[in-house]
Amino acid sequence: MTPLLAVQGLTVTFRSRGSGRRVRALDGVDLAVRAGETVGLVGGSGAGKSTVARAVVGLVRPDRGRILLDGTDIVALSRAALRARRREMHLVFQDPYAALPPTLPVGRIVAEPLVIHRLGDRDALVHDALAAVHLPPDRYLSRFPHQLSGGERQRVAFARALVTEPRLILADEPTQMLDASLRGEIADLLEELRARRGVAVLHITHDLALAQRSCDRLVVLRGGRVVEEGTCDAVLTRPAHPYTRALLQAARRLHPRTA
Amino acid sequence: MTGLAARPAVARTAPTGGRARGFATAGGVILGLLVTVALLAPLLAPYAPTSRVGTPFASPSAAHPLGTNDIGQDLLSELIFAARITLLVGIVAAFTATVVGAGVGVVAGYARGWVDTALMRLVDVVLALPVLPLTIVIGVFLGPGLSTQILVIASVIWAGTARELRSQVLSLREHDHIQALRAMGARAGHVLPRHVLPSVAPLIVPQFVLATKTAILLEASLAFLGLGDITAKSWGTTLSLGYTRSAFLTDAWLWWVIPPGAAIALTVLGFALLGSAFEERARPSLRDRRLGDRRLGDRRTGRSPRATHSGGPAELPSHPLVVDDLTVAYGGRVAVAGVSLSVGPGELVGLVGESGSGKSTVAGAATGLLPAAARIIGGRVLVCGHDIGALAPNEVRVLRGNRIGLVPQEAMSALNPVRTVGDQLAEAVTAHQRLGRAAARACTEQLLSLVALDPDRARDYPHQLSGGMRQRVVIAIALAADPEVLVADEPTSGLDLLVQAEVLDLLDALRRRLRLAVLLISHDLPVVEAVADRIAVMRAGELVELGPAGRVGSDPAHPYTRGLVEATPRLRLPEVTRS
Repeated sequence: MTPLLAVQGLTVTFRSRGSGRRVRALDGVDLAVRAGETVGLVGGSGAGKSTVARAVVGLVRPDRGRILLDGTDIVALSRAALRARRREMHLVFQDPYAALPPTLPVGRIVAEPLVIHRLGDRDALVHDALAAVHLPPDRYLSRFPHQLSGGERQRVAFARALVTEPRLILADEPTQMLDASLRGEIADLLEELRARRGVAVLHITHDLALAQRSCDRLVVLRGGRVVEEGTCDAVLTRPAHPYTRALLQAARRLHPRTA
Repeated sequence: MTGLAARPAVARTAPTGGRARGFATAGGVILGLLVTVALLAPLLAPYAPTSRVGTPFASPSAAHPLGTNDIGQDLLSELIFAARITLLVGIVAAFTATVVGAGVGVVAGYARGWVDTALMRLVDVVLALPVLPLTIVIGVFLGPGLSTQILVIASVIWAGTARELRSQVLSLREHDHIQALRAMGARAGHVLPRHVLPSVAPLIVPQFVLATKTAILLEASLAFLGLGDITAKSWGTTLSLGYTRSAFLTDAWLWWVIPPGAAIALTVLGFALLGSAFEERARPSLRDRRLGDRRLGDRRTGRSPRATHSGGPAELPSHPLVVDDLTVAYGGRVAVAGVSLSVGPGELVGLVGESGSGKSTVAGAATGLLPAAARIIGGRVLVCGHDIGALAPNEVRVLRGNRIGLVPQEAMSALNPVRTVGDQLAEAVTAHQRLGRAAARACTEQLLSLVALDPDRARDYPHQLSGGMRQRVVIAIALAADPEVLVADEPTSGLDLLVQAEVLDLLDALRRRLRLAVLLISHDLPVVEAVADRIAVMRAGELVELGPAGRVGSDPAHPYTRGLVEATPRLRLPEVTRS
């Protein structure tokens, strides 16, 4: 079976601002997300986790490698064809305070992907999307982002992600900027979206406890390379790579009452 | 917060807001008068400006309040009609320049790459050329006339607007909400008009108004040099004619040259006032800061201190940090209500709460670094026995240097990017004690090894260090004056898991080794649980729980803490994996 998303040999370099040298952010990354599956992409900061997501949605141009969506290499597609396919995936950003346009009300923010892709019946789709993230549409449609809490904003961001009914959601540390009590809530929302709507999720996080709560498989990234991957249980109980073991050790230090 | 801040601004005139409004009113009145005069010129002017109605060089009289010129035309009528031409040229030229400049700036900033390079080199060239000689050359080349003037003026003043807007768009483009649109597949044709332009519009308005001011001055210069349209006289043309037709040989300059000169000055002043008022409005952050200062002095808004006392253990007054029934208010809003806690020597107390719970306000009060708008209205904070609220600002500064160290939230912004780490440490050391250069360097190296960094790192710049190393440097700076109390405000937020554990271990080791009283503030319960002896939980400004870390983490007494403990995801691992 062809996976929904397959990243093969993805290599991305950036030009360093000071010296002008090329810095390698990703080096031959391979990973796959099957339809309806949640994959956790974990690693420390600077490991290149976000770069993977940004390359998949086209914000970063890969130097080498292929990004296959349903077997089609989207790196090789023309701009227009790529734009049309972007509707099948959506990137949710880390900071819900910055990722929503401050000047638009919630209803128009959520409708934005429909406007971009010129899709019809906006009102009904926006209502559905807001209901799916448990924000009653009649109460939230005309509110502005600054009138919402962080958790509500991140829900709006997820509603915007859902409105085009994508098959893949990339969530880049969606709980990082939220208060601790809301983190579990967002992880549960991700899980619910997958269960109810069959959306595949690439969940980028450095929080192993959070990854364990929602992911089927884990991919561990370090210094732009995949060092380990496997089912969530296998990676967390029998870590093969020393880096994964170090991550687990740190997680244990920060979660003293780990069962 | 903004809603709260706005209310007192309406009730009392805040200084900057009031000044901006005064500027806007003055500018608006001046320009309103000028525009009215220009529009109603045929009704207001006593004569047609082109007809010869008096004797040449007539002095002011009842019939001709400003006299006549060399061919007997009424100077007052000429002055009134000239307002039309001057304003027309100024506004049309500035409008053209703003549209072109904004277009170039927005496109260059958004497109980047070779488009940006090409457009901005052009802007550099235009900005580098001397304006007046250039306008003269183009003017002479194209021949005199209104359209020439507009073209020439617009083509030299658009570049400033372009550069200003490009830099705004460049930074706006990297904002997450614009990136999010691009990730959704939005093309530039969607993003620019719907999202970028509305965001930069508040900047375009003052740019336009100030460009009009420049355009009117340039028009006057051009007209004075004879590049105006002789059949449609502007104030500049009038000046030019007065000069060439020997107004200065007699007293005629008093009514021939001074009135148009004054009119130009007045117009420019009007536009400048309006422009600066708009500019101030586009930067509301300035206004809010002043507002805070003002409210600080207003004692009437404070409420009487609340007598709530939480059931913590009896505090020993000898503890290095004692927060005693502290109540802090922002304007009329109480942010911290009757909070009491203390930190003993060598003890680490964690203060947990969500954003808005008041935990950072407690940290601010403990370090004497409350925001300007906040005020302690009840209780006190004792640092080594000194009541911080009762001290003069410079005494607090001395105390902060010698007794309290502060580890601020973001290590990257807490360090100066253009100075080496060693320099910054040495500065922190010498700020509190007189030391020679060699002694300061020795001290710096000692501090670096205290936070487990290689002393050779002193020569590095902050960007050469990893996030964890930077946080270590910030901790070293906080320790520079050998304090007894250390307040760490979210020292691990934004760091990855491995580094978080590292920093916490360091804090833990330091407080034991140096007998520091550490107040660790975090929204992350597990972070605090990992190292704290006691945990204090705040919610909506009140202390809801205070107790030993093990008890609070496993058997919380307050329902809120229980919710917090249960909501935190925990890693579930079988014992066998422990290696």
